[in-house]
Amino acid sequence: MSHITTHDFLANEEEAMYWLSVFEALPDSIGSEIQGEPSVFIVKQIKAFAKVYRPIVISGRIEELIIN
Amino acid sequence: MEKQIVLSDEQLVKEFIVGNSISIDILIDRHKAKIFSYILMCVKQQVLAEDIFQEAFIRVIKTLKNGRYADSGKFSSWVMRIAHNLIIDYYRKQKNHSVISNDNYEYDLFNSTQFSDPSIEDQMVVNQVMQEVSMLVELLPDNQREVVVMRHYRDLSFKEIAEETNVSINTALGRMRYALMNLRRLAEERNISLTLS
Repeated sequence: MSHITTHDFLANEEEAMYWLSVFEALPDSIGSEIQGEPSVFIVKQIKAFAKVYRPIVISGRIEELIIN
Repeated sequence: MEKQIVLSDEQLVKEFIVGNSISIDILIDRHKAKIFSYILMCVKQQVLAEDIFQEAFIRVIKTLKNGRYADSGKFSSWVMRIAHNLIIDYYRKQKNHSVISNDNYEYDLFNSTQFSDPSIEDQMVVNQVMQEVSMLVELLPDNQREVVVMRHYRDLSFKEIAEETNVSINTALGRMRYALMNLRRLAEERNISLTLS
């Protein structure tokens, strides 16, 4: 009997699709009732990135500029 | 009496595109719980969920700033779709890992308690300890907490930590040393045991 095991990633993808349909159907106001949140540090990093990220166009191409 | 004006997601997006950075802060705060919870439900790991959450919002910011956003529905649904695609990408990368076969062995090498899932009790102990560590880390001074989070939650090297926080490697190492000393002291003061059996 074969003992080859692989993780069922297809099941993971289907589960992700299922949760997406569940969460998309939830009203945005549900956010205040949910306890799971990313760490304060991660949120601060994202907000900091938003402040410094600047795309500029050089020779017709969008280049990224981070002003520190 | 002051009248508070609550801007819709679409209005905040337009404000951010024209340069009002406070708008994206409001959008993130408004939707972070729902989006993060979705990611966590899928991947079931806090650190991985935070990585995907961060990457999703970085893509959101880049798309908005590059003028590529087409307003065609709810902002939160759009962000969740981006997060969903990142989750799928993660699973597909994992799929490429090698497959283990023990066909040639009479004795199943992997049929051992060493490789079995931990018991519910063990899992509860680990979860409890990790929660307590997380709580103690929040009590650290900002610069020490930052180093601990970057080292142990984001898996950065001290060189990367030093570069990101704009200090020397010695300073980063020193902050970690003081952070560990403080964590031990805080655990003792609160009679918290951080031993994993």
